[in-house]
Amino acid sequence: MIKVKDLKKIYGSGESKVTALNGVSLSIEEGEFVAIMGPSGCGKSTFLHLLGGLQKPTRGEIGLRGRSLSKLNDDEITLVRRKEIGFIFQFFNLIPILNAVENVAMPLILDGMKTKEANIKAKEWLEKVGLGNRFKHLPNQLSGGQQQRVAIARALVHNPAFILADEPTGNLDTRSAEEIAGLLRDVCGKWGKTIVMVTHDPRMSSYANRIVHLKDGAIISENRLI
Amino acid sequence: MSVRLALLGLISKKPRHGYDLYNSFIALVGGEENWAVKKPQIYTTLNRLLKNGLISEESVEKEGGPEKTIYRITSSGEKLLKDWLSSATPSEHQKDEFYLKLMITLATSYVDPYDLLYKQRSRLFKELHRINVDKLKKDKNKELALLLLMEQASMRIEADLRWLDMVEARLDDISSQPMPMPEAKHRGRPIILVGEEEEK
Repeated sequence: MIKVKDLKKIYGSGESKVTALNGVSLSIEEGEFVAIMGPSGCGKSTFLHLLGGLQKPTRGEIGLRGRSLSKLNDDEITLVRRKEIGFIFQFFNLIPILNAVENVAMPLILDGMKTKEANIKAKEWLEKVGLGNRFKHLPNQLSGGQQQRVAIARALVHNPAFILADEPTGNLDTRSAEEIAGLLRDVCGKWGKTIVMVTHDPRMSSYANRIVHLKDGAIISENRLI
Repeated sequence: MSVRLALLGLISKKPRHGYDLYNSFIALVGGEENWAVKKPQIYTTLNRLLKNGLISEESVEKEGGPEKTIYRITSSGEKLLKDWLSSATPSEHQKDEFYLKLMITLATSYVDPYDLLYKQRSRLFKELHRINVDKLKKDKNKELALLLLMEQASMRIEADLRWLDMVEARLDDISSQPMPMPEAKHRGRPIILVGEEEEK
């Protein structure tokens, strides 16, 4: 479970102070698929970065399966990120000189696994996301939708409990976006992951099971879709 | 109107009985949840088509079963069908029940208009969820027609959601303006206000 309490994030200080998040509290159950929705500048990406330990909150608490992120040191946070969280980005963030298998295997190798073993696991996940015939392709030999599939396989390969997705279809055409939406529903429904997805797109958010609307750094409403 | 003509079209494709027509219509629109038509309504419509000479009926004996009534299109039925198919279809976008609800809400004080907007948005997101998740289960190589129908529904809901955002942003302005009213018409003898003549 993710439990967020009175989360605040202020950038800068004095005259140039910007409040990105102004007291957000939210609970997310394991296995949920939650969309965080709002216009640009509403604080939704900041929220995701704080959840993933990529940034530190100015104030407030983030509880991940009962542990408070603010009580962990940097090394411990890195460990949580490497073991329990998978990230999916708008621009895929694949390494251009590595092929699909090598990109997916990377988190495992960084975690100390032998390359051979990591490659086997990477191939398993590429099969699961429908890219069984694209093992040796470099990112620039793949379509946008396929690159995002590679990125999703990479986010899942170390078997994390939580998937954090930042505008995962923001750079894709409608058809590819729909396929990625379907895949994300599998990530949650079939493979049991908890997904927190940030988007400004009503269509994309409708694939989630709950929508949290953010405006000016605060939650203004919530919709349960099932 | 359109159900009647769609039934006529289905009969024109091949003569069939009432129950078959009901099932075919429901299949065409992608399920009862999209277009709720009751079986009795189908039979009432068939009777009307018969009375107007647009279809004819005949009894066919089924092997070992009871007789069944089969409907067949007539030439005047075909003419009406062709006329319908050759004409454009009016949009009904300004017949909006939610708009009426919102205006009456603003004119009375039974419910909070922001609450009404919230409920409507929740409902639309739920519908969008249902349609989009259902779409994932359809096969684009076999069910493209239904997929396109669902796509239309989902695009319309997205437009409605955008419209709700717009209404919400301007709700205070709307409520400060008078409700659209009929134009005042003079009844009886014309009223001439003192001084009006000279001004003209």
